Amino acid sequence: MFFLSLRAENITKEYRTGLFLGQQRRVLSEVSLEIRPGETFGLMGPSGAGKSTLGRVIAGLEAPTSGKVLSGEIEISCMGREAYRTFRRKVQVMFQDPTGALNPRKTVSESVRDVLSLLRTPVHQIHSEMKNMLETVGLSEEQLMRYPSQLSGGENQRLALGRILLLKPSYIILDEPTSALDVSVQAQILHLLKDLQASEDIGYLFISHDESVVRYMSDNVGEILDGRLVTEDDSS
Amino acid sequence: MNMVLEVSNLSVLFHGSELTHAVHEVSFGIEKGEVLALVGETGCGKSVIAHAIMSLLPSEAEVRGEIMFRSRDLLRLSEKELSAIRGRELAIVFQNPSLALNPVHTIGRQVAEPFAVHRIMGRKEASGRAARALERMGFSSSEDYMGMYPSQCSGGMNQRFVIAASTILNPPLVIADEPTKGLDSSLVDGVCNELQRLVHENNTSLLLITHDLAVARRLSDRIAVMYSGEIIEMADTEAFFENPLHPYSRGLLMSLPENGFVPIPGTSPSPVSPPPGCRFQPRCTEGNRECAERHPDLLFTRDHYVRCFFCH
Repeated sequence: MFFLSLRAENITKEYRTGLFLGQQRRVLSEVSLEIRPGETFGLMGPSGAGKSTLGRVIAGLEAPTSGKVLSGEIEISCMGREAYRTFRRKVQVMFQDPTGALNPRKTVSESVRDVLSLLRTPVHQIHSEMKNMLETVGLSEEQLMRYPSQLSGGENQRLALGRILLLKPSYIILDEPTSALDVSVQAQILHLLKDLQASEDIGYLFISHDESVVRYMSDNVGEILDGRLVTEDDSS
Repeated sequence: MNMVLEVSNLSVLFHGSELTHAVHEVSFGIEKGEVLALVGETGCGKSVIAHAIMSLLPSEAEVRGEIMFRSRDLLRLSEKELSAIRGRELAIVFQNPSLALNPVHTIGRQVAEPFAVHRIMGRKEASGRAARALERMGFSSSEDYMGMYPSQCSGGMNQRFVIAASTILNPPLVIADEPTKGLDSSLVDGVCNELQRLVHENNTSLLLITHDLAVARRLSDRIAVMYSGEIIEMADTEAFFENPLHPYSRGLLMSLPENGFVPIPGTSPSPVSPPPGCRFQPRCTEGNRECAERHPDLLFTRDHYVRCFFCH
């Protein structure tokens, strides 16, 4: 089912705010988009526009107020427990700040082992799996014994991506994955993401406020403005 | 020449479980009303230099060299003397406004705080000056903002409040440490305008620390590129962007969107064990054996100071 598209249909999201949560604030209004395998949908918009909220809704981390998220033809809110577990494994999220996604008290090796043990990887395969993963994301075995605080921002982002890749995702929601990185490291991560997409046929939702980065990465581009999604087709 | 700040052979080492060479023999000066941008990758030592100038480094830091600020060596002053200078003559704008501002105090109180710290005037008068400072920053109904808390304002607004608080005493030198990091383009524009206004109206000298080359180009008169704790190239900003000499500088510019995001291969060396020769040599496509063995000096050539055997 995950080789099919991942679609958001008429997603509206409202939050309760104000004194005693008595007010409703609408962040997203009837937003629809489709992410296809091997393609990137680029999502732009100013800070606070609701880009990350849409990413979290599509990843199943938040429920929409109305509308639905479909994996193939199956709505995720109607999935059984096992199907939903598979969905959560196949649709991963990579955040702007990789250190927030990594346990500061665990070494690179321990962080990677955690994922492999969740996947019930046989003990004799753990080392080779770890080695393959490090090679894929461009980290060295010397870095296995380091803690996140001893790695650079780019290295932490590579580690976060490597942990995601162990789950063999069909789709990755990339929420400002290079916003905290320097230009040279940003270029490295963008190239890595493109190479992985070409080899693994992964679909990306690429969220960024940087238009040049979004345009470089994406097959289709949309912008969230006043809660609504404006695509290139709409503007033309 | 009217030098406000002269940093000579500044080295900073951190004594932890391993000895970290964060900054190695860095020298530069800033004239009155000049903007010097210090650019480079995260971890190259830019912010360590800012904190060394402000004497805000932790106790495990060993600082060598000389930091002459208006004829006084900041490294030789007592904490009491430094406290009298900080905020009044030498101010820093920190990169994260949500950490720089106190969440339980109003914006008005925090913008007016330097007057209270330096006992310059009473609270009422200071509050009026803070309101005028906010108006100059473009907050037309400043009285409304004075009573607000940081959580009620956006990141861009908070960054402008931090700039207002840091510069309210018109210090001759301001250090802006990544003032636009994490802000979207419209907010970056606002912060750049504030810093430009500050320099033009008060003839303030600005040490701009940033990894955003577009911001550096827009604001600075001169630019110094840092790599692995050293300045590897320093030139007038336009001369630098028109003709960068060091291979790392050229690589940085090639990583920009307009040049197609061409990455520099490899990663920066560890500050614990930097290479003995040129620190960029392991990633450089132009070097030879000499580069791996001998450490190049920062020498003047073709209107640039550059640390590369192949550029002279």
